[in-house]
Amino acid sequence: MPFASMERSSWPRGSGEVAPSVPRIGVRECVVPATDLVPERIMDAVVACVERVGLSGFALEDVAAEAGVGRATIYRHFPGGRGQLIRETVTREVGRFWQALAQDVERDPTLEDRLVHGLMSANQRLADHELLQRLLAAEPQEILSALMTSEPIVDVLLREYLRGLLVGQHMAPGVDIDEAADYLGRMVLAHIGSPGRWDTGDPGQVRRLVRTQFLGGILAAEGTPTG
Amino acid sequence: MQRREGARPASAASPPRTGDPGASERVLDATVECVARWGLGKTTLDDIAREAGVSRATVYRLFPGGKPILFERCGQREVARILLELSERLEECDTAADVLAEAMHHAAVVLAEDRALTTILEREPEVLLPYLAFDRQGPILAAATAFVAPTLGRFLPRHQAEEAVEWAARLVISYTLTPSESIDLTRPDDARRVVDTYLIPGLLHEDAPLPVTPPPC
Repeated sequence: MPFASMERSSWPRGSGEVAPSVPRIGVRECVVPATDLVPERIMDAVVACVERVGLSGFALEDVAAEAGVGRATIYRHFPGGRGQLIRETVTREVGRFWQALAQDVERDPTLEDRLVHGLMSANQRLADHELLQRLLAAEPQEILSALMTSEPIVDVLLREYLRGLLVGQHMAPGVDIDEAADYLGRMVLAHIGSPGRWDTGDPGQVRRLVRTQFLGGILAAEGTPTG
Repeated sequence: MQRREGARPASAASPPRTGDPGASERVLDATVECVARWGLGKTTLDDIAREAGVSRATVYRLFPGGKPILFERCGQREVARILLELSERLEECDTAADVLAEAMHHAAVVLAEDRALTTILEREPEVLLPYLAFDRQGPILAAATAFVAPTLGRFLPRHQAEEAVEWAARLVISYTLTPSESIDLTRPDDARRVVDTYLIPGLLHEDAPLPVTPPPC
């Protein structure tokens, strides 16, 4: 089912690179083909408008004025109008979030380090994201619905990314790498913005969480770094 | 989700005092029933009042916040009801692994069979988000921990038991809202496998505190 939804969406927009076999939330920057500068500018304008008046407050005219294009141009690039504009812009921002995160952890030597660093960084980035926090407080339904659009893509890309990290690891006997990658992805998503009993700002706690709950069953005991 | 009127004393929801002490519970029961039929979006206060056999004004008096508050209270009450049932069931388990596997399996089954939840997930999954996304999950995780950790605490030190229950609760939510290709927690064997593959090794990891009594698993 996630694959079906992926085909409808575009992340990154227009590049056709959401093929699940290639983890694009890797090292590179957001790929923006030169020919697609107009949609990018329009989406930048959406962000600017949302900053000012919120998600449900802005009109297409505002976006057009902000981007310096006509309404017709917006409709040409976003035939679905306002709804599509919001969904694609939010999806783009989500993509940037994960790309930034992948860069944060890119130099970390071990899988455990990446997960610890990634979890801490993700929670920090989320807390620091003023616009998102403002929208979550003022228009939770609108922003969360828009965020949900990108969830299937995030699920797939995160799973593929983690699977790539699991290759070459000393896995515990009997653990299936695909299922383990799926499990890890769920654990990562479950701990971003939803700390529960964990202090995600405390490196010691997060490391214990990752060692026990994330990787305890996945990595063979002797393969676990002992610090 | 078969609820019998008056089957359970009004406890979790702490209803305001009125001349009709059962009214709050009836309104909550009616809300669950209406949501099961029509979903959250299409359920109106009139529907709820009619189903509960009270006036609209009574609904407003009992739940001054209207629909949002009613839905929230229903959610809280349903979560508490499920968890209470669950904790009673777990009394018979003999090992930490049994408790966790049974808890995850049973919770998944109850959620899958919950008519109100099923209706919402089919027709309007996005309306659940404000109750489940990000830190809003906190109260659910805390409730799960409060109800189930004492049972698991028979086999594990308390704070390790609490960690394990929160862990299991996150997985139940994840596998319920985003089904997996290989793991379906409503199948007892799958729940067991998740526990044996991921939870128990994690709980036995050298960085996890040592159990007071060795977990028989």
